[in-house]
Amino acid sequence: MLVLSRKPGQSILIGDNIEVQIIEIQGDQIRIGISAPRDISIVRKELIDEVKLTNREAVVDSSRISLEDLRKALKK
Amino acid sequence: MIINSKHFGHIEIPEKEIIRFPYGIYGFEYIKEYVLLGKVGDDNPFIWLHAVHNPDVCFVVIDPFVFKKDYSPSINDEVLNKLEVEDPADIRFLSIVVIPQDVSRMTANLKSPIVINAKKNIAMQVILDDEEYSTKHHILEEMKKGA
Repeated sequence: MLVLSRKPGQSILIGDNIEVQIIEIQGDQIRIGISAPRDISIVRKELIDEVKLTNREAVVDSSRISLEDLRKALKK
Repeated sequence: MIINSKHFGHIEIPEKEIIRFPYGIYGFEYIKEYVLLGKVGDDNPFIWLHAVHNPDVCFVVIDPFVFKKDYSPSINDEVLNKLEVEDPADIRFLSIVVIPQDVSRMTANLKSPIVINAKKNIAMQVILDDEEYSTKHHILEEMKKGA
């Protein structure tokens, strides 16, 4: 991993068209501004981890559950 | 196309019903093809999202608008391009459901719905920017709130 030191207001460039700017530092929080083309997705890593975890939890043993039982649960 | 399913055994699915997930589903990036199984036209909003080549990978999904009438996911151009959407009317949403032992506690993921281009059968799981949605909405409670 490349590690760089930057000060507020300074930026780094990734490739030709991604810019990451340090906007401000307050205590243990750092505000970052990112300029990137619209087709580059930018997501907080912990959110992706949470979605992965929820998906893994959602895999069902289809022999244990019937859609009819779920429908009935809705009507209660 | 024959699908091998743990529950349904071998079932035949017309090729055109296969939904391509070019990026997979988070945590299951290696699975690129799924089918929806369930009775169409039934009043049951739950359906199976079943992997075509992996008999063990199967999700329950639900039409999110059934229990959250004011659901309004915002989809950006990046997603529309990736799904090759020409007409926004072709877009469908499905939420993956987590079913605990107590079925009445089931939750649906409104933060990262499955977005489908129904015309071309291309889909992806999208993580929304909307702060109001989470990965676990209690389905029965949401229904009561909306009633």
